[in-house]
Amino acid sequence: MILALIALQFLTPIAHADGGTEAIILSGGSDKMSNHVRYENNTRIFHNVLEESGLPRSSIKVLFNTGKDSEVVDKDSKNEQTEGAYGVESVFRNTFRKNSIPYIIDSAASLKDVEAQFARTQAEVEGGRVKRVLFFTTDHGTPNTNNYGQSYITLAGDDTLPFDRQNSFVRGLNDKGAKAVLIGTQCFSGHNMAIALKNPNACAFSSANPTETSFALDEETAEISKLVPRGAFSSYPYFFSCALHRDNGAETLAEQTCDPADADVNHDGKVSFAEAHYYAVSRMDPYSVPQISSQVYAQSVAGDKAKADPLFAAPTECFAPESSLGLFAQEMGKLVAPALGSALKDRLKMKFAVLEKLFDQPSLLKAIKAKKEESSAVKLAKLNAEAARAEAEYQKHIATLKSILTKRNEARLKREAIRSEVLAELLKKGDSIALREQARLKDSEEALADSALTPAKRQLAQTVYNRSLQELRIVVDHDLKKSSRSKAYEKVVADINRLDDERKDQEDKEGKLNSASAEVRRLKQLSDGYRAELMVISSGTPEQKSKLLQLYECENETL
Amino acid sequence: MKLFSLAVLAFLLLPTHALALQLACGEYELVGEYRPASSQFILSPGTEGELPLFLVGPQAVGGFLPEPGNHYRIGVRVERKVGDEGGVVRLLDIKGMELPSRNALPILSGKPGACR
Repeated sequence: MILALIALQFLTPIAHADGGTEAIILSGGSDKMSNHVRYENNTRIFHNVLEESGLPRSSIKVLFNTGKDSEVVDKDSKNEQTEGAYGVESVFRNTFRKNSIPYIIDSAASLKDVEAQFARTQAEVEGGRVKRVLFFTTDHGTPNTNNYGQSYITLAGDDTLPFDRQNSFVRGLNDKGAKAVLIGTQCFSGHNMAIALKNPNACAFSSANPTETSFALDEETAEISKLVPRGAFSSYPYFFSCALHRDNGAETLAEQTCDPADADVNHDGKVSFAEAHYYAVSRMDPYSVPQISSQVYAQSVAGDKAKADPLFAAPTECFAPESSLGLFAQEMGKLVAPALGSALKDRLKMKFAVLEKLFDQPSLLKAIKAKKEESSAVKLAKLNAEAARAEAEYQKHIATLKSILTKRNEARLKREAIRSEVLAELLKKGDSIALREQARLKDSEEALADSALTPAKRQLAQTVYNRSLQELRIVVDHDLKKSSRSKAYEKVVADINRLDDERKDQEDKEGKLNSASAEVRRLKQLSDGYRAELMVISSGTPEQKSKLLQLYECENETL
Repeated sequence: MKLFSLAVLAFLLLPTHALALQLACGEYELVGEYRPASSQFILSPGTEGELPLFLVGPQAVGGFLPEPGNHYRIGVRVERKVGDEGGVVRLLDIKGMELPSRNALPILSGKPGACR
């Protein structure tokens, strides 16, 4: 009974939009060299959708790089990009402009400013004015290589926000009755799952798992009808925000760049955070694995069991939602109020609808050799079979590629040995060009070691160094033609080229394999997660069920 | 020993640093793409955390293959902290060729050392 009351509390509707919600958008950006235009756009588009939802600007706090005067890297802003001589990429390749969003920036994203904002938000919560905090982060990520699950958030300059402080902020909000919704869009952002799992009233979404980097919008642009330049956004926050976008007639960045999104999978007229997440997952190129707290939680407590349990390993059982939900209702009915059971059922139905929708994609059906009219259970069985086949084929392919690589590396070593001998002989016999370039290499290396080197002088020293490097290579190439080693060298080079052709063939094959199985892998991950969630609901401990419920409720909220 | 190495690596990566892949002074084993035209070794090419390193040292002359797009495992010594714009590092050895991996972490190991 107590558990039911606790769980029910999580399902109590809270004040939204015009009362009780505060959003913090944190875009650290490090220094201006790293403060990419996509972070500005990620910030602006999420700000757009918050405003479209009716959240007043005063309830949206934007902490951006060094504040209102921040500069962003925008390669298109001015054509100052230089190639540099001898192929050396210029260290001045970045061009800068003032940010275009000063009107929404509240403060810098330094640790001091973040702490000040956290204190203000905490005070608002303690004063009862804020009941829900959305914490949206964008920029690079800083891994904690000692524990990726506890990584940092990059702030302005050299500042970072440690995991413990992120966690204590959420804990402070929860302790005073406010909910925290964490949306991480940077590399390694899956660390926010641990915060959602540790705290009683939080949930989390992330663009990547804790050990992965995340990506800028790239190939996906081909699938977008609006004009969206490559790299203009990060993939996950772009699709996440577009899912939440509502056209209210304003000519915002969201309106200019988002295609209409069919993200409302349960057709309740609202797009929840969970629906926005699944929309992003279904649209992104599958280079990283976005995370959602309920799935991470369920897999953490039941993943292995779900795989091993014959009930949930059987496709028909785990993909017959009514029977599974019936089982759940029977179990949960003993524990919780009917309203709670109903809410749970809705949440599972939503997820099931997402899976069904993805299952009906023509490209997916083709990949798993299924027909649209076939049952979900049959499709799932075919999905699992195809995933296993694709994985086996991929592993075989990787073994082939490694074998080619080993042979190629052996040929590379032979090539290096011959070239080293030729260069040594040239130097020994006093070849003037070789000696001159060797001396220049030494000089520019010493120049590069100077700790007081300005960026301009560093660029110059790199250019000189690289020029000498290329000249030495040319001298060696020239001498090899008349050397007694020429035949041996030609054979090694021919081997390298042949192996390179084999490598390219294999890499083309890998690209095709990856493309062909991308949807399969992604859907397999989702269905495995769904299976784990059903497992927790039907046979988890009361505490596990309660935690999953809390995460569902939080993720099901809308703007 | 492994735990110790991880702890040292964490120290080298300096939590106070702002970017994913800044490097403190020390020796590292790295995986990345070598671009022969510019003598640059790129960590995490094509990702949010891309970091260019300019390589110096004898093996840079003839150790890498002349075609772009090859990935290698190398040993380097960082003698001056490498910031987010990249930096100059000394190539100690080329340990072998590697398969490209889009989002695997590029720093395999490291131990601290003094800056010059």
